[in-house]
Amino acid sequence: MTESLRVALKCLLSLTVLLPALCLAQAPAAPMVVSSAQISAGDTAWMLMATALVLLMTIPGLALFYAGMVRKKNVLSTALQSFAVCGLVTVLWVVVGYSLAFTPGSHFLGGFERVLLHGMSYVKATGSLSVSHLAPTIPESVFVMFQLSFAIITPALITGAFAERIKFSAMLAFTLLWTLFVYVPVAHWVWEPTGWLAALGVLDFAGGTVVHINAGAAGLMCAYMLGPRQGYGREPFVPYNLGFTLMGASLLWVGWFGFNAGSAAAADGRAGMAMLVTQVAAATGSLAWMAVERWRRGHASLLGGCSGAVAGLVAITPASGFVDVEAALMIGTAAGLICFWGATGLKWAMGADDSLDVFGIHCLGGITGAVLTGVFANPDIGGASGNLLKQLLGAVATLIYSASVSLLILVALKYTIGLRVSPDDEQVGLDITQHGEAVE
Amino acid sequence: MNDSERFALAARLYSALKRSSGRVIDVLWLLQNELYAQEVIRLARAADAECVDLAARYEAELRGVRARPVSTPAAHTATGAFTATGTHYVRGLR
Repeated sequence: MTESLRVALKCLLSLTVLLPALCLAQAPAAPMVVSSAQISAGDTAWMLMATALVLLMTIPGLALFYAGMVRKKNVLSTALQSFAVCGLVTVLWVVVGYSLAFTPGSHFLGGFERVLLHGMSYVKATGSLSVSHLAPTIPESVFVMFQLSFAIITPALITGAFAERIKFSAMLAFTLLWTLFVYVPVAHWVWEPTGWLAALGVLDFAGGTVVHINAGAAGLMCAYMLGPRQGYGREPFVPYNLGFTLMGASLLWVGWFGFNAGSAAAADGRAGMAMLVTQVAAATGSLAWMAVERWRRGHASLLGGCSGAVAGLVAITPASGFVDVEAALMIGTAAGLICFWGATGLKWAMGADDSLDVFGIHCLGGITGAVLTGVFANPDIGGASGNLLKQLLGAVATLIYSASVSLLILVALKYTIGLRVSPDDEQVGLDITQHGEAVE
Repeated sequence: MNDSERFALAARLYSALKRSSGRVIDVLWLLQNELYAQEVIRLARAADAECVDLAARYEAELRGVRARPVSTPAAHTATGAFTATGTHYVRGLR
């Protein structure tokens, strides 16, 4: 207890001393132009591959995962939401998102030096190109793309919370504003060295906090603000095709190797460890979920197996570059059990119609992973020891910020363009009423 | 034609009518009310070729429905399948 208090005091002292120091200090590093000889072909090849894998997680992975779980009348609209987010966030990212997230600035937001990617260069004649200070052995263009694929999947995850009832225009507006005002700052806090959580030493290897807690908290606010779907809690919402969900979950599982092992930004031993623990946590998460399902309900379901795997993957995300296999076994198992509760008992207690359990799986899984990273981080692997209080601080700060700003955005949209389709349109289905198409 | 296929046909009719003449119909009411369905079929016949084709298919389906014994929720329950999924997904997916 005394030790915990001592660490807590150290955290507070770090906050009070470090933040003003950060304001005064010169930017420690920034993107720079280097000779092509500095670029590692191996690292670059792996990061190109990892980027494609992460993009594959959203389209078609997440699109299929979610589309299989909604009712037939909303399959196309649900899949389209992931696809549309991909296009919208891509444009936003190259215009301003990357610059504000991944260039030095204040401890809360980056600078404008890479607006429209100005300054990012590749000059074949002189053999020079720009690199990010966060990944100096790969071209900056690859780093921009890699981080873009994370920026895409995060708001795409949120679409599961408001599935089957949001207006397409409201979804696009929310994605635009949320990416700019929530994702970009949080990515800067955690991953850019001048960010305040990064400076505090909060560990988040591949996005447990930036992606999953962030998306889960926003998802819960969306579920509350939009209200439950017609008939929620009274009639069965039978999923259209769980075969799609299995295909989507499988693509997510494989794509997650790019997500986690790619976050090493190098083709090295740490990336190898990240890949190994990712596989182990996905497996144990899936098994744990199915086991508890078998115990509580008498059967293990396909949806349970898929959900558990995703829960394990979410939880290992922040830990993947810091922990060993034993820790991965425990993290995956814990995530399977906790997220099962999150998507059932906790969900019913909270009363929000979080359609596809974004909060129950991503936020709870993210918190589980963030906290357990503080417990299990092995300095031999990641060069850093974990600190439970710092990890908790990172998780809680992100949760509160994401929930608050998401709520503001949703209120603003509700009283301007409106969030929800009309009751008639909801009954007919979003495929027809929003897009003029239907599944046959 | 099962319920899903009938819904899909009605949905296509909705889309085609909206596209060709700007007319919006009530898909659920179309599925439930035969008089309304006949009126929609009449409208569709006055629209473009796609609507005419869909109207013909829907009319054939209507005739088939009339000839079949009425299917009740109890009948679904007798198969067991409806009950199994029905209770499962009421409070959420998982």
